[in-house]
Amino acid sequence: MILFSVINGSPQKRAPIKFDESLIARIGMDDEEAFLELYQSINQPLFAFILGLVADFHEAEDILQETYLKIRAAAHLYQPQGKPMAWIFTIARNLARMHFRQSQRVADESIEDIDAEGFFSSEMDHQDRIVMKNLLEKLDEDERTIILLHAVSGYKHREIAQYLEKPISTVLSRYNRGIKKLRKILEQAAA
Amino acid sequence: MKKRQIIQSIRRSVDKLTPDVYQYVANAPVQKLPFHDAITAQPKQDQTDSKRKISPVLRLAPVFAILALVLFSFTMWKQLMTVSGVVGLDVNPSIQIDVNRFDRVIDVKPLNNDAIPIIHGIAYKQVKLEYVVRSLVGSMYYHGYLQDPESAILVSVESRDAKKAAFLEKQVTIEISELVSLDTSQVYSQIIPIEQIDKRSEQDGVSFGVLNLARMAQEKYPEYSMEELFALPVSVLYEMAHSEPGTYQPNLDLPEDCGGDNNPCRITLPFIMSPDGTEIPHATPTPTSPVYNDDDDGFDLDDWWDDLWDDDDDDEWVDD
Repeated sequence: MILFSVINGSPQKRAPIKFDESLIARIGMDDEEAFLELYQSINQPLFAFILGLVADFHEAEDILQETYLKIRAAAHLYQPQGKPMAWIFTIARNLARMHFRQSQRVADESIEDIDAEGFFSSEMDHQDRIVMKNLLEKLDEDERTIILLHAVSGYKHREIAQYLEKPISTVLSRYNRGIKKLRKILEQAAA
Repeated sequence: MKKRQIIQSIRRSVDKLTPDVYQYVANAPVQKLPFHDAITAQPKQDQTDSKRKISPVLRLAPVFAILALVLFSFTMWKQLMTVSGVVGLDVNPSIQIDVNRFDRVIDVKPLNNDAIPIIHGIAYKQVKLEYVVRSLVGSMYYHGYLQDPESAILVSVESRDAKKAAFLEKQVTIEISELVSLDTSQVYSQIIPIEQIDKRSEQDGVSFGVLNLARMAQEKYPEYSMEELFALPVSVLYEMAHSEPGTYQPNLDLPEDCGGDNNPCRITLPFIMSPDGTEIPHATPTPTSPVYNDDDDGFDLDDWWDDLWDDDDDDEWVDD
């Protein structure tokens, strides 16, 4: 039963993503093992974060790749501050903004152009597809990012507030508002 | 759909949708940056971060501040409520005034039945001593005391701090002398060492000032009992206490035919003789209670006021 729940990946709460800050210094010295360890630790929450920002799978994948490359390029310059994930999120956010500027689109416009259907895996449950599609299409950037980070990374609202540089009250209210909005949409769709 | 189901659905989706880009990002050629660019620049550690690092100390700061405030408040309250000095006023009514170190009154106690109406209605809690003394003296006036020019008042002060005792004695004496139309020689004062204060004054219903004078007097005149000495007017007792032993012989018997308007009950005193045989002037004793006319309902302030101006000068004015 325990094995089943682990395989299904549906524990009630996830442990927050943590990794040794010295990994970045080792990556700066071209340590491949360190990079692999970092990648395995942060890939999912980082993707969830970027997806929340851009609401586009293809663009999120591009930014994800660029973020890793930037980490490799600047890891030797990293000054330990106790919050390596904040630095990585900053890189991803800066890249996402740059993408927005380059494509001369604003975030809200990009939501309407989502081509999510093609990206969804055929193995995905129908209900999961509906949830994800509505999450990306109907919620705003803050609501998406906060819900995705909280669900996937296991970060607490306080940590998310730090990473997004927003007051914790804002994070809490956006999270609750986003979840309510999503529930309402899903209930209407089910009816 | 419940919130938990939504969260689990999102997790499952992200688990399946997260692309595996490791091969590409691990093997792509990367040129190391000579310095941070706009993308990789590290966020500056803001002040809130530095505050959070020392937060265990800072978090306790309000607790310490509250504790310090409570301690300070308790200390202040204790100082306000701790008796630092005691002032006794004796005319016939005997009143004890407890003051704190800020010369504010903590309590006013009547030491005999005559004092009860005197202090009635006087607000004294945390009021400056001088104001309370004024109120008490005013009340004594109103109740018929201190109106006789020959009246006397005894001010007794006790404090652990000798300087404070001296200050209180001076302050109260000056205050009373300014208020009362008495000769300053009729405002008697004394400072009593604290070790001489005991519970006897409370047991005997006399002030600690009278008790002190009675003790001093009995040392010099052991033939008198303490009860006899307690019954004496303060001026008599004061003079006995401060006279040379054996030179003062008060007549403690009241005249048998005393009473009424023309013959109030007063203790008659013999001459006071100094050791060299000369007469020593002494104060006339104060009546043991206000002198009332038998046919009066009580003391009339208006009559007293009229009497005050009814002197010989008026006759001269009429003659003119």
